[in-house]
Amino acid sequence: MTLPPGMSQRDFSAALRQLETAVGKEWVFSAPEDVALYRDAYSPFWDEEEERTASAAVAPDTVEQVQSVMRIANEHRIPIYPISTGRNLAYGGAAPVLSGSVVLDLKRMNRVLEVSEENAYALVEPGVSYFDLYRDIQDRGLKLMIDVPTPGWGSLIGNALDHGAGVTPMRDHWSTQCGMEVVLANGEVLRTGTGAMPNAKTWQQYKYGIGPYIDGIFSQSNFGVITKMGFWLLPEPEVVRALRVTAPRHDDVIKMVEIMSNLTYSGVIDSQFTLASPVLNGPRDAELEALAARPGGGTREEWDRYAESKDRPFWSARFTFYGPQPVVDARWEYARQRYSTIPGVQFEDGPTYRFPMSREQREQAPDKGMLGIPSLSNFTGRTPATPEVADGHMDFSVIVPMTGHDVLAALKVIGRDFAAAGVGARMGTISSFHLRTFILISSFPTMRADREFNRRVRAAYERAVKVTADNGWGQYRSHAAFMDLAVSKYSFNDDALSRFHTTLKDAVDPNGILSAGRYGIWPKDMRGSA
Amino acid sequence: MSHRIARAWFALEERTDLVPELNGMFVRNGLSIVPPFRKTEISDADLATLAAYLAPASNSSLQ
Repeated sequence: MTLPPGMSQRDFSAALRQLETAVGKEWVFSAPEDVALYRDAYSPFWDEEEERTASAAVAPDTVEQVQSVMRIANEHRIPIYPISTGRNLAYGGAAPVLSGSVVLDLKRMNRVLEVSEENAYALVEPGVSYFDLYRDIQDRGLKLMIDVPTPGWGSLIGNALDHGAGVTPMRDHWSTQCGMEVVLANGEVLRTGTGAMPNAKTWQQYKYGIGPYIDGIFSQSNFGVITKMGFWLLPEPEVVRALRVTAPRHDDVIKMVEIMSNLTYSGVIDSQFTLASPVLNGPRDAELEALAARPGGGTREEWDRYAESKDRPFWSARFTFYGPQPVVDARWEYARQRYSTIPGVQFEDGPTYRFPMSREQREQAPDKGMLGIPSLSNFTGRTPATPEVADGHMDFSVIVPMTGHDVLAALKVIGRDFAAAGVGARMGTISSFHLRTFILISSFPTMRADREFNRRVRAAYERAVKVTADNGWGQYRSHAAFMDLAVSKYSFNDDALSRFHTTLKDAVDPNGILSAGRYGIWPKDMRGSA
Repeated sequence: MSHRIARAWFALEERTDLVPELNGMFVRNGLSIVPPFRKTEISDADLATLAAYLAPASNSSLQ
């Protein structure tokens, strides 16, 4: 059995008994088969000594119980690792960064506390999944659309805290959060924004309150346990209409991105758009590898000839418009006009969805994410077409500037690096996850029964972090097993930012009980040892 | 709400080979890329009820 670092079995057992008194015996898990459910199912260290594993798990049902857990943890110096629904798959799942931590499983706190149709917001607890909020809204017949990441079983709060995203105008989940309740490491409860007023009336409508705006320090960090969070929602639109644009040549990306960034900053495009190259994202044959390996990476004429020989457009982009029909149609048409200036460009209209949609229409819609309908449709696993799949994957997500030059460079540099690594890393499409940058999400496969393969994957992942950072592209989110590495690339002025984080850590969590090591923030006595 | 759940489980309801132990194994061990479910997501008691419902004998009586 894993124990918290430096703790005897006897002291730990005594602490567990106190936790049982706080939350109920059945909600403290210490049997090996129960604790194993908190392993990272996609761990790149599966069954190796370095795999991060918990010592136990505790699952409170109320804010008061969370406070009690914090007090007990401080008394016994037990490392605690809060999770919301523990579905941060591909970034470490429910497993703690520090082995031996007790997972604080908040899944039982799954209440939708308030939904306002008039002011389009929701207030939820951390165990509320996208499925939960969607059902609540649908069952009550409210004219609201939520924004969902690809799998719907995750937590709204957990996803927002990790800066996750969906596809609709409310896709940047952190930017849509408004007001939170936090249990600090010492067990004290605070509310941010106007929620600090005892008779608050705008907690979910006005973010800043008065004085320093602190919500951001609780994201990707370990300064408190979030027990409530507000989210802005989208009024159900009249219509959702998509537009696909393809352009034939290598250099068309310059103009394509120039137009999409201008349309974004002007408010014509307000939801996620994706940009992919059917050539650079497509199947890599010997001819492509030779071209990519050439000094300078091949000329545009050579690339154009290659694309033409494969009968593929070099670029493909998809936009989606949300809102009242005349407004959507005007924005759709304006975007089409702007792109018509690129010679050889082609357009595809739709799909288009009109609201309200019946339950049957919602169930049958193939583009569920685009419509704010949570699903698990990407959890297909093996199919007749792909009989062999990896057991898991680690995502690798890089922030790329919204320029054609950077898009080209990123696809070529990362594509070449992945091909050289030879571990089957898959380069994804480029998407406007957040408001003014692209994210290129790639994934590295992991195998539970092949340690040698996982070792090579880890080396390739670490190399990819270095290669991208050397080009000025940081990660927007990190896998739990590589957080120190991710943060080490944000090192301006002798790690001034990291040093500020640790100053805060020591002030708000002097015993270092919360999420040791999360996003490179370690308690005093563990610094430098990581 | 029951109609939604029933629809989602329809494929499982049609199976005639889901002995309770098998359901428990899939739920607590996961399969391929689908990770296991924790006891805060589905308790042992709920899992037992679900497994009994999907078990061959009760399954045939429902059809």
